[in-house]
Amino acid sequence: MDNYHKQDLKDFLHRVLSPTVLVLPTGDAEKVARKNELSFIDLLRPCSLVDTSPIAVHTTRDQPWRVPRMNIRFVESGEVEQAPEEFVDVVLDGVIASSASTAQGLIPEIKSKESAALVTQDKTERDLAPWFVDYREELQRGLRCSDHEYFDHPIAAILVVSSQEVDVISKLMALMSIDALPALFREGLMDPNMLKHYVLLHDNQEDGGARERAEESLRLMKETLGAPSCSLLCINSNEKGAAGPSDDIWTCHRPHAAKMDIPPLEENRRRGAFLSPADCDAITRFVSEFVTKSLVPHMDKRVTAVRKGIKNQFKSWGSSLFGKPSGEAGREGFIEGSEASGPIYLYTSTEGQIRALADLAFMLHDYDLALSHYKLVQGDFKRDKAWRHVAGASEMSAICHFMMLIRITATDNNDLRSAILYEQVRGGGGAQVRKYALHLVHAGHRYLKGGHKAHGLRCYLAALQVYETRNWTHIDDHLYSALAKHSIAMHMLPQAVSFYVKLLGNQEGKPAERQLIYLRDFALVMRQHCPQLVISDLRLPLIKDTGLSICRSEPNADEEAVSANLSKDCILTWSDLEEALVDARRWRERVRQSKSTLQNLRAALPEAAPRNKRCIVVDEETTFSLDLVNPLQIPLELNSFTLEYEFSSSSLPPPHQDVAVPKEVEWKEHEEESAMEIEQQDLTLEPSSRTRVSLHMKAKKEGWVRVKGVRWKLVGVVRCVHHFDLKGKRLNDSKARRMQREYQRDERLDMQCVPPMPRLQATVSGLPDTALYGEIVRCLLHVRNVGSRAACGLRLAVSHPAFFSRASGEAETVEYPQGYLSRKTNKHEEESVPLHPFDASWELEPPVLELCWGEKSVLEAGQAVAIPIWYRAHRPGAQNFKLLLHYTSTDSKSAMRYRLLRLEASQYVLPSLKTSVNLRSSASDMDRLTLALTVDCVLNSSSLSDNTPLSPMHEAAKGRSKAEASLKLLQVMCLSSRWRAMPLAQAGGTTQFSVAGGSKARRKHSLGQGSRTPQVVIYLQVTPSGDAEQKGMTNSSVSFTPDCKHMALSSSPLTGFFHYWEQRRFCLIHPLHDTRELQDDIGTRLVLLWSTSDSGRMGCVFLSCGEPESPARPDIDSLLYNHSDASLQKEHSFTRDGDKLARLAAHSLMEKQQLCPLQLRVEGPTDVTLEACGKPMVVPITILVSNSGWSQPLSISFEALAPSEAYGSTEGQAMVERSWDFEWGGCLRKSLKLQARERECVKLSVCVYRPGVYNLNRFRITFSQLQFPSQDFSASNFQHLLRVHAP
Amino acid sequence: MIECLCIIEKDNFPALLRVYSGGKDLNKYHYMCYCAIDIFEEKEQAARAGGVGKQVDSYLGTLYPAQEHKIHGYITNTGVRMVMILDEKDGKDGSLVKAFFKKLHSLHAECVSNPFHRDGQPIVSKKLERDLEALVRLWNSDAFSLR
Repeated sequence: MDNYHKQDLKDFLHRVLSPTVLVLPTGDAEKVARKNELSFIDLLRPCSLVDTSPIAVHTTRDQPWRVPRMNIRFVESGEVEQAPEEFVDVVLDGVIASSASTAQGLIPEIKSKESAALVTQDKTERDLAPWFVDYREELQRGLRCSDHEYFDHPIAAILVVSSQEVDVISKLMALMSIDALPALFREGLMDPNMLKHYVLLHDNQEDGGARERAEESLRLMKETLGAPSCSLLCINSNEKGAAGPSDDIWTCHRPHAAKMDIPPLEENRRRGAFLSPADCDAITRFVSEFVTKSLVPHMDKRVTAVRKGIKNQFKSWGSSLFGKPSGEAGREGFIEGSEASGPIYLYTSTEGQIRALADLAFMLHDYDLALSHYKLVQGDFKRDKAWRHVAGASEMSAICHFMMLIRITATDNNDLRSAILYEQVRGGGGAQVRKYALHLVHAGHRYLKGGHKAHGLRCYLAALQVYETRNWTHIDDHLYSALAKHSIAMHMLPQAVSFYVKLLGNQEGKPAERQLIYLRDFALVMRQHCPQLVISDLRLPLIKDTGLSICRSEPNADEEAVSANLSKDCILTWSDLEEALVDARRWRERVRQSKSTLQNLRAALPEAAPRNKRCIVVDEETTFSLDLVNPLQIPLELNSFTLEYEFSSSSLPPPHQDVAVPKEVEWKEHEEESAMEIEQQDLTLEPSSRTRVSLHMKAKKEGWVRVKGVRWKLVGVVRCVHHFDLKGKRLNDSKARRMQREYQRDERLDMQCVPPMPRLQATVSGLPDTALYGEIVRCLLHVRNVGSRAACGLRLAVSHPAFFSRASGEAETVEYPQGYLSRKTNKHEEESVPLHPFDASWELEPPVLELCWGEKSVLEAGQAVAIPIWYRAHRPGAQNFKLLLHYTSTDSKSAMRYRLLRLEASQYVLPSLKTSVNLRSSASDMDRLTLALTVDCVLNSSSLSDNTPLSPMHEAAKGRSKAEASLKLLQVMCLSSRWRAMPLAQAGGTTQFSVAGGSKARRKHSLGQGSRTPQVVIYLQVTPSGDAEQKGMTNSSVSFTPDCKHMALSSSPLTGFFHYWEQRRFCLIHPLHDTRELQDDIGTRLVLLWSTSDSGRMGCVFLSCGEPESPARPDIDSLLYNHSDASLQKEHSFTRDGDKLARLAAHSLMEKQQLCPLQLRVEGPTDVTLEACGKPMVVPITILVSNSGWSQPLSISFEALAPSEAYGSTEGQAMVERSWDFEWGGCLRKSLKLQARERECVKLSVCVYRPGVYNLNRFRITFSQLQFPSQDFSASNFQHLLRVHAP
Repeated sequence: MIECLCIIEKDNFPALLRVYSGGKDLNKYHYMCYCAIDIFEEKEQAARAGGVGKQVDSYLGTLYPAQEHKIHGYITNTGVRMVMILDEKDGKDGSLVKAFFKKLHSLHAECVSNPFHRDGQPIVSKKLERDLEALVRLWNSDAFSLR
């Protein structure tokens, strides 16, 4: 127990367990006092606390001590009787009820241990619970004068007589007579022989010798009754009308029961009107003197006397016990009572006297004495089975043991009493906050049961502070529901509603029946009491602000995150594409800086051009989607679910209000003529489910609209509003902001309503789901204007510029692909094309296609147009294309600068042909090269899946695509500034090429047959065209179709794609920051056209020969597309792993690499017949050696080898057996010096002995040139075969 | 007879509260269990003050007096508190109560070893429910023994 509590209780006990003084005024004396609207006893009560420190008290101790203060209880004769229990209950009820208003404001802020200590610090009981103090006092008063208690027995009596009366003495005697005393005295329960004090009350208002008469009476009294027990008290000395004490100090000291029936004052009457301050002082002095001079000494003496008397009595009682047995009837003052009430002890009984003695000792603070006598008398009572007396004595001994807390019993049937006691036992928090809360709940429960709602609510509220937010939701529910229910009964509607809101927000995972009851109650309350109230914090259903998405008719960068479909091969976002369309300058700069390591790249970039603000176009629909979560186990019905908005017709956005200021929520129905047209929905949310709701909104007027939130009617009754609380980006630029977690203001919900605009709908037709690598398709972009204004300036930004090309100016009627192949007279056509100027900054250009048609390219409202676009499958694999269509209104003053339309397509590109190029010197002509174009059909091959596992999409695509068995080769074109290509065999090369997966088809004039690979090798011979300085290129085209069809490279569809391919190749070779001299020539390029066997689909493959092996830096594509270009690797792979001659030839085309330019050819017969068996035969052979280089001279030594030399010594044994081998004849060694492009012949003869096939590759050529590190030119894979037939 | 079993996490979150007295006056048990936290905290504090070396028994005995109930407490090494509320007439001695708590402790340990169990969430486990039911039935039919 806290100290303050102890002190408080001590004071209380001293106050109630104090001497009682009976006040008995005569009728005349009472009249004198009544002049002041007060009774005589009222005059005494304010002075009841008397300073008794001057007098010493002895009782039985040796050392005297002093009682610091003493409280005197003045009672009227009417109060010396037992109060009826019902009356006490009524009084107590009144006490608690009257404090209801004070109780409301007194909710201690106790939530945890710390707060409990803080709250109870320096607080008295009266501060914390004033009603309790009153209740305690009244309860004590109500229990007065019970049979078993002796504290209320008057110790003294004050007899008051008025000085007006004639026979003072007889009046006093009459007052004192036993008949005039209260009944308890007559019954012998109380001792009538108490200390008596006589007061002569004199009214100063009386005049005409009254004072003298009073003096006379006093003298008479003193003579008769003894001087010390008589006093004169003069009051009413105030003149009539003079100002008396202004405050009413008397009525507040009245007991509560008396307070209740105070008659109201009449007009112009004042309590204590005739009492001057001197009178008040006189009364105080009188009481003080009475107590110090008469009462305390009397009590002191009485203790001593009674104790002695008891001792004597014990002696006699003891002797009588052991002497002659005396019956119970012989005991003085003992009356045997019934079973229920127990015996009665009169004041004359021993037990009664002991008890009275103990009480007196207690009042005089002699607790030891009191305790010993209480214990003494306890045993006696017990023996007599006087249980109530035992209890009374025990209680007093407990109090003597120093103030134990009253033990409560919850079984007490009196709700009020248990409530009060529970509340007191809580101990004001302290260490055990939870226990405190539990007691509060008990108290609240009992209060409510007893009908004291205000106190019950107060207790519950205080307890709620401890329980709330501690996750004990059952407890919370109980408190919330009780508080809500009783708040309603107390007509505290806002509070009740707030508790219902909390209760319903706390229902996740609770039983459905409960939820149903709570919800029904809430709806009922709202319907009955406040149907107009708008609730803004009800979390039914839960609305996730982050799940809000706004879908305008106009796409905006905001939605990027929501509809994020960032495929891994395309990192271009819609906003990048938008930038490419409207802000080409910034786009270029960004691409230029794409590899920059600048710290603050953003600062280096130019300012972004202004984009469209968040606009909604009048009469176009905007969709709000949000997630609603029903946390309950029961279906939730929402009516009129709609958006809450604010509209201003000004041209500026509405100002933001400070969020901190809570605004009055108002509910206004959407009107017919409002600025916005918003859909209302009636929803039923399934139990514990998440529902996505879309609301459509249409602007009707121009201006600004701010969507604030949503609102709905829960179960058709409760009006609820939810305001969105959206946060923008986290602000991190300063430490203060980082610490405070500031966010940018989210302006997504502020939208400008702009006048009508054109609105386009577009689709792309003709784009196949799957395409073959290199396939060219003509697609149509169907655009329809569904808006009310004309649109112009159509442009299309594409995420994959290599795949799309704008068709320029050809008739749409031409059938593709047949119409694009023109019949020529010859299979081999050549034409001269001007050199394309290449621009290294080409790669910075934004990937935008200008769309135009007709004359003005304006699309009127309601019109539709189909714009052809070429598509080429540039790269195998899955592709996700983003196409962004940009258009503007013809009205230049429109608030929206432009509008955008998003198109998306995805596609899978299957591999088709795998090509590689080989070059070798021509067998027939040293000036010519043979170009072998190897074409593999990988249509249905599994070669791709060897390295890369098939993706599911690939599988699906394969399943969808028509099984193409084979592809037809249509045409090959060779573009070079130095070389011309033509078919190898002019005469017979008309065979139609077709490459089929898994089957073989080969040109006849290849090296041999029998290879089973599904490939075609096309041989072209390549000859230098004129001189190297000639500007311009030769385009040699060879058609494989029987009707000599050619497709022109300079027109659609090839030109766009080819140009793009060339440009990119150029940019690869010459990076932007490359300081080397730019070359316009990027080598020899080949274009191979193919079609499917039914000629329905056509495509082309671009190839190049001779170029640097690896790109000097990653190209722009790999930055933007984040992938490696598959086709690119394929195309220059031959330079890495082709054979030596091929590398040589490649070198001769490019003349950059340091390779040996030597070429070798053997001329001579290939088939000879022996003349006779065993006879040697000599065959002349010429070996042609040429330097195919363009500038460098070449020194070599030629050596024809003997068989032993050729096969090495390791095979020495076997060599002997090979006597059938041939022998060289002629000049076996020769040194040669070859100038550039010079050739030399070495004439030799071969001697053979028997039939067979001989490989003549048995010679060695050694370089002796500085530039080439002495290199052995053993052309291992070079062979010239000589077949010798038998005769 | 067991009226209520409660497992309270270290952060005072009620992970499990089962009432076996017929579903009447559920709130009462919630209040009593919540109130028990006070005593747990006091005892923990006392144990801390007692020093590290002092071996503290997990079983804390009767926590606080309440009418018609006996409230027993148990605290695990990880600070999980367990409360068992018996009715007044239950006369089984402390060793049995302790044995019961040990069983309850091992059931709880088994349950939270489940990788799908999340701290700060109510315990949801069919096995635990079943085993608890069996244990309580055993106790209420006076068949619970020390073994």
